[in-house]
Formats: sequence, C-alpha cells, structure tokens
Amino acid sequence: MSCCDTDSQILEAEDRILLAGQPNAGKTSVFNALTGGSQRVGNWPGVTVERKEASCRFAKKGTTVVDIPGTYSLESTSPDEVVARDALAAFPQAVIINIVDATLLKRQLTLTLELLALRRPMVIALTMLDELAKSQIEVDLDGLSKALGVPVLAMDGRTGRGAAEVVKAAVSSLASRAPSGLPPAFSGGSGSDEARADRSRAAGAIARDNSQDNRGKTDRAEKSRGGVAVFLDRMALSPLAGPLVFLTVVFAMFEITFGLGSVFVGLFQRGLDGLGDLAKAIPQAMVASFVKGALLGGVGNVLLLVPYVFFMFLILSFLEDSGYMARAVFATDALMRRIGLNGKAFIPLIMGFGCNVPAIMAIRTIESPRDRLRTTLMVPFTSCSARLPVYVVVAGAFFGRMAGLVIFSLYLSGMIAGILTAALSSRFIAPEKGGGLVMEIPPYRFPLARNLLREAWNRTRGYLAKAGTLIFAASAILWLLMNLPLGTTPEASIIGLFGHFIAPVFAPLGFDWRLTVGLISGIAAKEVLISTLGLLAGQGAPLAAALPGMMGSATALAFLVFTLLYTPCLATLAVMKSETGSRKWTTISLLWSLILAYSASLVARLIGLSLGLSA
Amino acid sequence: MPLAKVPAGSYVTIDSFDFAPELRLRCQNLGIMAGERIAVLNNRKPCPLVIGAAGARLMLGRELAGRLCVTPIGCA
Repeated sequence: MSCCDTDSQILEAEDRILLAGQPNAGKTSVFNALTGGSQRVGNWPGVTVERKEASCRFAKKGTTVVDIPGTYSLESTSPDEVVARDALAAFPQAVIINIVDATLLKRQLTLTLELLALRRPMVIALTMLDELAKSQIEVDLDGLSKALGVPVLAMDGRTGRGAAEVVKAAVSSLASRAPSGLPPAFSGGSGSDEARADRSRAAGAIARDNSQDNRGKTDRAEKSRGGVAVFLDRMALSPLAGPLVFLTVVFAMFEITFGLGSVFVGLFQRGLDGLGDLAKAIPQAMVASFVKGALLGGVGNVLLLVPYVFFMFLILSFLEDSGYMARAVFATDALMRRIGLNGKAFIPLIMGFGCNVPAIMAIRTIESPRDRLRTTLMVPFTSCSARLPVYVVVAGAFFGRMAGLVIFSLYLSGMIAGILTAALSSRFIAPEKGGGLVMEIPPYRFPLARNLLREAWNRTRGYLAKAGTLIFAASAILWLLMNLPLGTTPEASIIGLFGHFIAPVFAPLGFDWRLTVGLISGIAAKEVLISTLGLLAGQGAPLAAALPGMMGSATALAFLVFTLLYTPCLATLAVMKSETGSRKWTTISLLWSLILAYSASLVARLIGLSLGLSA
Repeated sequence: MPLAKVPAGSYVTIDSFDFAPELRLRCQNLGIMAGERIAVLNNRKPCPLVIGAAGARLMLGRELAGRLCVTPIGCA
C-alpha cells in the first residue's frame, strides 16, 4: 500500500509533480526513485538536457512526475535551462518538488527563492544529507521549513529513502493548492546584479540560520574530504599527471572491456555454433539458408558481441557516476582552448563512446551557440559502441595480440579527428569571444553496483532492441537481395551486382564488393555492417575466420579507419540536424566525414603496405 | 589584482568582473559575485583554476580568471 492512497484520490489525471533544482542536485535519482524508472544519472552538471515524464509509483490516478534539466537560475539562457524554464511555464498547476543538495545549501537556495516567487504549491526534498553529515554539519529541517514557508523533507535519491514522504507532502500541498510565498528576508526582485546579490544574501542567511555552521564550509569540506579523494584529485587536477590519468583511464576502459568481454563472447560463440549445427538439420533449403544466413550470420554475429558493449557501458557509467567527467574537462581544457573551445566541449566526446545521439544532445549545456555548433561537428568522430563490434571482429581477425592496442589507437584517432575538425571549423565559425570555462567539480562518489548494472543494462537493451528490429530487418532484406534471382550465387545476385557497381570507387582502398556493401549498409546503423559482413562472409563460418578471405591486413587497417571516420548513422545525422537547426552544417559534416575517411584510409593502407602488411 | 595571479591557498574578495552577460549570470549563479569571498584551491598553468565559492568547488578558465579583479584577504 502506498503512503498516499487517501490524498492521491484528490489528484486529477492531469496533475503533475515537477522536479526542479540546480544541476547535479540529484533530480534524476529522485525521479527514478519516485517512478521506479531507470533514467540515466551521472555525477556532473548537465546530465539531463530534456524533459522526461513517468507515472509516480507513490500516487494513484496516473499522477505524472516530470524531470526537467537542472538550472542554476530561472534567468539562465542555455538551451537545457530554457527547457527547464519552459516546463515550469507549461505546467502552471503542477506542484514543484525542489531538489536541494544539502552540501551546497546556500547556493541551491537561491533557486529555491526564485521558485517560491512563482507562488506555486511546493515541497523541498533535501538530498545528500549523508555526505553533509560527514562534514559534521547538520541542517535543521523544521527551521528551514519555517523560514521558507514550505515543507522540507530529507530524501536519498540513490536508495529511494524518504521518497514516499516527499510525495505525500507534495500531494497534500497540491490538494490544498496552497501557494508558496517569499520569506521575509527576501524581497523577490530579479533581473539585476543587485537582485541576484540580494537573493544570494537571503539564501546565505537562511542557510546559516538553519545549519550548524555554514560559513567556511568549503574549507572544511576540502579538509574533510577523504584521503583517497584528495590523492585522486592531486593526480587528476595536475597539469602533467591529469592528461596522463585521462589516457590511462581510457586505455583501462578498453582493456577491461576486452578482457571481460572476451570471456563471455567465447561462451556466446559456442552457443551460436550449437545453433548453427541445429540449423543444418532443417530440411527445407531456403529456410535453412535464411536461418544460417540472415539469423545466425547476420543477427547472430551482432548479438555475439553484446558482452563487449555491456562492459563498455558499465565502465562508462562508472566514470559518469563517480565524478571523473568533470576531472576530464579539467585535464583537457588547455588542449581545447588551443582550438577555441574549452574543456566542457570534451564531455560530449567521452559520452560519444556510448552513443553519438545523447552526446550531441548533451552539447546543449554549452552556453555559446557557435561553440555548440563546433562541438557538434566533432562528435561524429567519437567512436560509438556500435562501431566497437566491427573493431573487435576485424582487429581480432588480423592483429592478434595487438588488437587491443589497435582499437585503443582507433579511439584516440577518432578524438584527434574530432579535434582537427573543430580546429578547421574555427576558420569558418569564429570562436566565441569572451567565453570561458566555469564548471562545478562534484565530489567523488562511489557508484552503487545496482545502479551501474541497471544503467549498463538499459543502454545494452537499446543495442539488443536494434538487433531484434533494424538489424533483423536489414539482414532479411540483404539475404533476399543476395538470393535474387533465385538460385544465383551471391556475386551474381542483386546485391552482388550493386556491390560490383560501387566497388571501383573503393578499389584504391582495397575494399572488394562485399566490404563496400557492408560499409553502405552501415550508414543505417553501424551494427548492420557486422550483420552484412556475416551474411556475405558465407554461411556457417564464424565471421572472424572468414574475414582473411575478404582482405589482407593493410586493407583491414584501412577498413577500420574508414569505419571509424565515415558517415555517422542516420539517427546521429537526424539529431545533428535538429540540434543545430542547420541542414547546411549537417550536410557539410556528412561530406567532410566521407572525405576524411577516404583520405585517412588510403594513407593507412599505404602505410600498412609499406610496413609489409598483406594487401 | 586578477584572480589568475593569486597563488593557491589564498582567500580573496571579488571586486568586479567584466564578462559577457550570459557568462556573468552563470558566474553569479555559482556564487562568483562582487563582495563574495572565495578560496583559490589550485592555480597551475595551463590548467583552469580551482576555486571554492558558495560551498562548492569550481573550475574557472584562465581567461576568465584574468578578467576577475579580486583583493587578497589572507592565506590558508
């Protein structure tokens, strides 16, 4: 039985609970706790850049909880913060749950004062009280509630403790339609330096009066931070060690991904082989061909590599939840400044390791429109998880023990290509003058294993869903085209003729018609590339074993480079167009990626040949 | 003096800063405003500065730190 059965009867279907707060206050964790959802969380400002809605598990009648991007102030103008402001305006009847990080009480209360000025039903959920307790600081919840004139309750977003009580208070507040008011210490002005200073002073006074000692908290927090955290930051925030730590973190990410992933892939391969043996027993030749070709060769080869994708997402989630992302910004700021951006532009590049689509959306947190556009042009060169299976199979087939190093080099090369693109783009898009980096450094937090696994699974589920839909459909279509006209060989089939028609364009790179078809199919989604190669490699044979029959090592190197750099998937192009609002720049990005991919692959092949690798 | 020249371990009071309006607003929201006391926690070229403001640790780009006028008030 939920806590608020009685009160929830009063709610109407359209009633909403709106979660508002400053960036990194823990809104999405609270959202997940209130809805039983599994939205992505992270420990840096700017994880949420769009509005999300779900039903509240603690209230009846389909009460909706709305998670909005964090905003430092209702005056802010960056696109993600405008989304937050628009959501507040869009739901004037909604009750607001203001999520406040207790460790940053003074600053977070400045937004609270702005929200109170909206005179809406409101409740405050105070998070991170456990962290505050470590600094020997206590907050007087009752005192704070009296000072602000709204209920103030403790809540732990990560464990969900206190969620039911917060919803109960919100529902009561909504039922009574009691609007909030401004505390006497604050006049409620806005829009000027004086008003902001006034708000800051009022917030400071309220925080000071209702916590044991608010002054000098920074210094005490600094001293009280754990020894390990201090040591980690001494390394991560050092001019010399910081970039080295970053490279080590990225390298370790790949080593762990491949080390753990290969154990499971071996098991999966045995399962796939077993299914292949079963398929041999199918009496109808066409059905057997479809099962072995489209299902096992196409979809099966993509599913086989799921463990690599899962572990990659698991480690990325760890980095995002631990607080390392902000340190990566610090480590790369000097490099990014050389190309007219700042370290903040590096976050989308790291997020792009997972998927380019959310990475491009994360660019909303960058204040300057011109910097946003230049960062958007960089992201497609970040190697997403969909490309990973291609690297694993091809590098594993040709470079043996060096495969890990080859793949690590590919990821670094992608980042270098992105940085090069941003540098070149500064000739056409003047870097923003007067811009600069200002960003919060969150404390390190050890992520909960449960949350990490859930996060990694959610992202892997997207990969699996694609295997069951897009990749299956693409494999089925390709299988059909490979078998038409009936009774033909793959080379003389429709897809074979198409491949032969296009292949001369790629002949200098050493790609035959099968590789060419694979690359073209990969434009839909990069995973399709593997399923296509699996299909074209011939039925029954593992893809890695069949690849040496398609190309030599030098061509394999060129193929990897091409896969790294060429056209991003259709979903990335679509989000690029919608985020930039520019068809021109999306087209330029597409053409540039093709030119760069072709040139770099040619160079890679020539270098490979000069080193004695097989053609 | 510009914040960029203040050594780590110092406390300063912010006198004034000449930033573009959006950036000025962002800084004010983060507690960087005239009259506020901040701590310089890390200042090593070519990296951003790490400062303590309004209870939080912030990184501040060197260009911005160069345009932020402060008065030192003591050392840790």
